Amino acid sequence: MAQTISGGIRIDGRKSTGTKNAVAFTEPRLVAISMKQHSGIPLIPSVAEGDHVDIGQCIGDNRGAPCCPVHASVSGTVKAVENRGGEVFAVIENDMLYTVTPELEPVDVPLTELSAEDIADRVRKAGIISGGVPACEKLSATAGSVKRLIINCVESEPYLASARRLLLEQPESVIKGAKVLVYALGIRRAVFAAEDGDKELLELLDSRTADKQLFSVKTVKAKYPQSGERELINALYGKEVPAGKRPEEYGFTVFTPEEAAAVYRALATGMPFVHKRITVAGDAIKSPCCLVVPIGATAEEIAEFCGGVKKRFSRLVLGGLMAGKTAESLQCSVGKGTDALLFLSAEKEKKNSGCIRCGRCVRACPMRLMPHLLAAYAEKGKYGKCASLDVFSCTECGCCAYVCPGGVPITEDIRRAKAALGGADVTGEVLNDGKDA
Amino acid sequence: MEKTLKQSFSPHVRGNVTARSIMLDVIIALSPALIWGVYAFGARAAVITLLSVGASVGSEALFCLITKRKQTVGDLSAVVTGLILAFGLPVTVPLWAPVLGGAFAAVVVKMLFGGIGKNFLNPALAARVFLTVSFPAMMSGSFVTPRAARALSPFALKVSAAFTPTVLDNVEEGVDSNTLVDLFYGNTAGCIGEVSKICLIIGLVYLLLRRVVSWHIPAAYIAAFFLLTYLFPRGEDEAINFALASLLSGGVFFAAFFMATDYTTSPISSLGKLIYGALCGALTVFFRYFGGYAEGAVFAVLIMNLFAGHIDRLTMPKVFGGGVNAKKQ
Repeated sequence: MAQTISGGIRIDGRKSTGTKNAVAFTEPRLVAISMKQHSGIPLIPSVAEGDHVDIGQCIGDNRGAPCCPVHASVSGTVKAVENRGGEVFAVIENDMLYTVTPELEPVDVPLTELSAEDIADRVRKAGIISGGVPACEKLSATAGSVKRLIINCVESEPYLASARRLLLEQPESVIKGAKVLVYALGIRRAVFAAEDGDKELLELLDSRTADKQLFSVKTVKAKYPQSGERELINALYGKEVPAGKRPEEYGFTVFTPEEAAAVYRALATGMPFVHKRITVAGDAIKSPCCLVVPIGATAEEIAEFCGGVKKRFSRLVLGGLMAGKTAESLQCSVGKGTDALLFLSAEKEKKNSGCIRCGRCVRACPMRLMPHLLAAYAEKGKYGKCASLDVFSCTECGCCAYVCPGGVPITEDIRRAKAALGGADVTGEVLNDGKDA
Repeated sequence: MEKTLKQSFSPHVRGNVTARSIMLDVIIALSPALIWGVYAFGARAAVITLLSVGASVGSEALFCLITKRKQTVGDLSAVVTGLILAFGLPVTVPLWAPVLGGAFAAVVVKMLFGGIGKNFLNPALAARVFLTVSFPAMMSGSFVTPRAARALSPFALKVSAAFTPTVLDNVEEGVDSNTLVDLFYGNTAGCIGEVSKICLIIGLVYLLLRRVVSWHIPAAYIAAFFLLTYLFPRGEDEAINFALASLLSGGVFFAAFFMATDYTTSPISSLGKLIYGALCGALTVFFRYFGGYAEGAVFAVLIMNLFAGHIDRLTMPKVFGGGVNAKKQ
């Protein structure tokens, strides 16, 4: 039986790229690798202009905080280490020789001879993260408390299909990665979660996870934003992990198939996380497809590789259609958490004609908030009221604004309220209002 | 080659349901009852409906023009207001009544409070109560049978006819099963759009299928109303007969399906909707039993409008996981 969350929306999947094999794009002329691949403190670059780097060589790390290093994804010369709008990038010119660093240390002993700490340390060194928190954090920070490992094969955002392609094309690496994670977490089994409509994927998962002691497959109904970690846990187990809390504190940990495969690769070959699977799609790209690209590849070169953009191209969204962010230029590059590049035409503007109190946003909110009230208070600058309505539980999934018949930019209003409440520029007036509320 | 990229905020796609498409669905849902009304009560019913819609739309447009606001009639909510108002009028009303009511609904109840979504009373309902209280004889003492109605002049400002008491007026005296069937199909004296229960049910089913309204308010309303009339019947007839006759006569179906479900003036949460619907039903029985007018549904819903906000506050759902201040399990 497929399970589901309360709230959320059904939305046209636009998954045409999921039916074609992913293509490797190995020859970008340049890669721009960010020193900020996740929230928290940025990394410190360990290379300088003019240095030669090989694939897999560490080029940035930071010891102090929970973070994981980044590595060169191509071989070549560091052209620049530059600050672009507060974010430091190492720009590497590809020499097209693809030499691999000799530093790699594949594991040559049976898995059972490694300790959980060994594995977590190797996972950290491999820089594995695809959005959220680094994989090593999920393994080490709360060791012992995790009871259930979920491999999140759900891609509920429209267009996204690269995790599906990975599972269909290299199921062994994901499954072996899941075995490693099960061992490292000291638990008994991994649960693969997938959408119930995807028969091809489910058949594959069923056939590859014959060992029912070690694996189980659970299905969820196709619904956005069920691919979110907390939403998925809720759909599968009915447990609610509150905002600001880590699933690990509640006994769950969620890995993407890409992370699982990267864990396996890091142990088997020593190769760190340098290639990212992305979906290139949208109505303004000539040949949409799933790609495997070196981390740091630029949108411009990727667009070129995919046949170029159409005339009507006007927006580039990094990530999903519902929760992604628009890029400022085509010079932006793929990070470890960039799941998709969506080349889109100009959006048909939905005029803001105001709230009619229909309640659609309330029914759609997976966090059971009152989006219409949050938006109304945010619009009036009454941010204190937003705080008392638990605005920080909002995951900015965008369901409320999607369903709003009045075209109210609810998600945007909520984001503004959060920024005002969390930022330094909160005025005294707003704070007083908060006390009253 | 470098092109400035357009910035937009997530979500980068929007659903295609708009206020206009919702109102269009409501208009479609109201049309079976309208068609029956015109068929049963003749051309004058159509004239009254057109005047009511025209006055509601026209005065909203005029209001926007005079106050230099953005024109809002495009969302079709004024059409719905006009239709709902006309549905609650007897076919014998003078032709100025729908015009006055439509203008009152659009300007006084809706636009002066800021337009769609901001009014705390349902415009059509408030206008109907305004007309009922101001002109009680015209609104609740002037019903005619469909046969008599078809003989009325469509365009005469005022008409006179032999008034017939409605089934509701004498519901305590008991009804036979033939009358119940007539009530169900709408072959009886009553308001233009309220008489045919089967047409109203068809409209509700359409709204439910299109997910424009949820089942909570209509179901709770009807259930509470039926239960109370069944448990506390009046007259000598069997309780079940009395309850059925009460339910099928007057405007309970129309109020439960199309008035109490108005977005702006009803609660948002499912629990809130159930409470709201049940209280509407109970108040309807109260006003019918103890009020000065035969029909209590309109007053019941209008009063409940005032409580929608309070019910919303009382029935606010618990935030996922208990919210940001949740304690660890």
